[in-house]
Amino acid sequence: MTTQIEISHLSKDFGAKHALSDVSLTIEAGMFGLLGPNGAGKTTLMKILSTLLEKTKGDVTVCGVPVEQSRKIRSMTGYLPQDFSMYGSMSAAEALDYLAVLSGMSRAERKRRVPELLERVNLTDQSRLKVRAMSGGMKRRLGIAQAIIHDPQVIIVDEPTAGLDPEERVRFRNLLCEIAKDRIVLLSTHIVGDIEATCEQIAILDEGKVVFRGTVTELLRMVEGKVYAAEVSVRELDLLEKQFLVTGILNTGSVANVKIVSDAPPLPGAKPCGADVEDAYLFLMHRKGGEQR
Amino acid sequence: MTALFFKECRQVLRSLVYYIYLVVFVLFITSQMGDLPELGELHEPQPGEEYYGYGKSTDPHDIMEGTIESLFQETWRNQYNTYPFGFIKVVTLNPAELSRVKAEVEQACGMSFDALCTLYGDYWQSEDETTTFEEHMGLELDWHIPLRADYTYEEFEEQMRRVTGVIGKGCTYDGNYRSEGVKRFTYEDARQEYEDICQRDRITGAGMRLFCDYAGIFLAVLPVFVGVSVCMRDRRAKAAEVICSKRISGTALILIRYAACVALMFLPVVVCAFLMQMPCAYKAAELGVSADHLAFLTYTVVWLLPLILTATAVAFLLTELTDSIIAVLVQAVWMYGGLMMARTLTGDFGFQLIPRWNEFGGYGRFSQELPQLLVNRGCYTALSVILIIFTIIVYDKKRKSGVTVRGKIRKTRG
Repeated sequence: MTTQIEISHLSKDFGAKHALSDVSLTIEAGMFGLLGPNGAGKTTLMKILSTLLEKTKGDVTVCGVPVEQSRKIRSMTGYLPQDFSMYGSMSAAEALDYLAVLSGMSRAERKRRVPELLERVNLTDQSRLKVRAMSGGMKRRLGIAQAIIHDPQVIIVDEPTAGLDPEERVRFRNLLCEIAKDRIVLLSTHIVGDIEATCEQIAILDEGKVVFRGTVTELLRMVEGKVYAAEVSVRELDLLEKQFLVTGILNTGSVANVKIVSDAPPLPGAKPCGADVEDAYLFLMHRKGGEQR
Repeated sequence: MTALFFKECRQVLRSLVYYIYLVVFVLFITSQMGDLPELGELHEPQPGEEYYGYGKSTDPHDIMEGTIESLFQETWRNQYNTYPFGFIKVVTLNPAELSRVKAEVEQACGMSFDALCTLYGDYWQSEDETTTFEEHMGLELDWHIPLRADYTYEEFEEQMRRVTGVIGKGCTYDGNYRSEGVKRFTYEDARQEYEDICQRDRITGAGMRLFCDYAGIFLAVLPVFVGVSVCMRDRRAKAAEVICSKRISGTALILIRYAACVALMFLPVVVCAFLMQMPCAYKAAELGVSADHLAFLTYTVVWLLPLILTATAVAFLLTELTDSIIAVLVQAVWMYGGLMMARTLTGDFGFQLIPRWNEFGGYGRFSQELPQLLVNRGCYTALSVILIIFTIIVYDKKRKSGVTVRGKIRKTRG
């Protein structure tokens, strides 16, 4: 059985609205980032892969198993939804044990895996803490623990770092990287920094279509030599944002340091500078008529 | 699956709604069953006693007398209770219709309606010393309308058909008058009733029927609250998606949750029944009667368990279908309708949601109506099974399509 997700000409309609249109992707083992603005269709795609939504058209196989075989797919995937939570009256250990039962694990397996997973996500000390008393970061860690408790081949994680503080976000990203060995971790986010720090392979969705599929390096190559830094008056900012794709602004009193993506030098004093994934992503979205900063 | 069952039980035990169910049920049943005067008064009848009580009669004369009395009293008030679609509807007749019904009463009694009113009024005037409810009821039962000496059951039935034509379908005279026969017990009647309670009911049976009668009223609606809370738990806790993504089948999940709910709601009912049976068992010992110590279990399983099964299944199906608490409203209306539909407080089970037997004893009639009760309870159990099958279908559909009847498309797009 190959550790691979094969998506071919996938479409999903909600009435007249096309949430996904002719999406084709092959996802191999390792961390895979799914980037896109809100409403791009990331969650829809994730839910189809988790058998929580039925596709309208196309073919999807997870490790060679068609997504229609929902029970089999569920046993080989772990899913962490965007706003994961559990019954507030349960402790972390109880919640994990309950979800392990729903995953069909035996008592002996649960007895071994629950403490092991709590340890792995650094929740051992909070194992008796009620879910309702947990912070957002703790809940996400509990969420990832439940997603991997049955040792699935594929882990689907939807917007896992939204709402986390920077420290929790870094810790969570590292955790995802750790568990990505020998399996697929499909990470959906609209936070470019998450992808930059964790994924080599990425796809960018916009309005239900794949607008980019490749590596982070390939994405960066799209803006190579097109990113400029300049110092402008604060009063010029509005006009500048209308004329160019401004990807960064740092105000220092009456003067602002701006980062602009442009095919040619945008201003007389502008100097070429290093590009990051955020510049490339915004350039791509801007070119496709997506969100513009 | 056993592990999940116990985990689901634990979740129910952590819910406030369950404790409200528990408290309301226990308070209600203890308030109704706390003191059973019939049990205290139960004794072997002796010849020559002044009063042996009242009971239902299947004697045609008693039925005719009771029914015509009822017709006279309703005509006197010009207010007829009818149940055309199961719900009570009070009918008031116009003067022409009222005259036709009065003529039927006059034909049955052989005297004018006004003369009957005078007789009735005189009786109450002479008995205005009554103070207690029991005395009042006794007097009401002691008054008998004077029927014509040559009045036959055939003529009576023909008259009832005509009266039904005037008042409307579902009135007392629409073939439902067989339970109207009431008679004052003789020594022999009282002896027979006592023998039935002691030898056939073994005292505990009579007590448990009364328990089931009271408990049934609340169990027709209380379980729906617990059922709704269990079904809404996942969504409220934002755990629905993660639970749906797990390997467990919808059938197993729904069945186990249903079983946990029903088991935990039935348990206090059984415990209460056992406790309420104890005074009956003591009384049996006092009278030297061998009590049926398992009556509490037999009666609760046959009589009350199907009620819990049905109310919980309604809660499960409607909550899964609508993601709302509409099941509470539906079940409350059904319970109220069930109570209103009951033409009598003892027997006539038909397809009533809440079988009534508001009487301590009456085993003779109960044994005659037992097959009807068993069919009734069997039907409600089967209905519960059907509702739960539909719940599983709805749950699986929602799990796959991610939408509900009310639509959750916005939630699924990202």
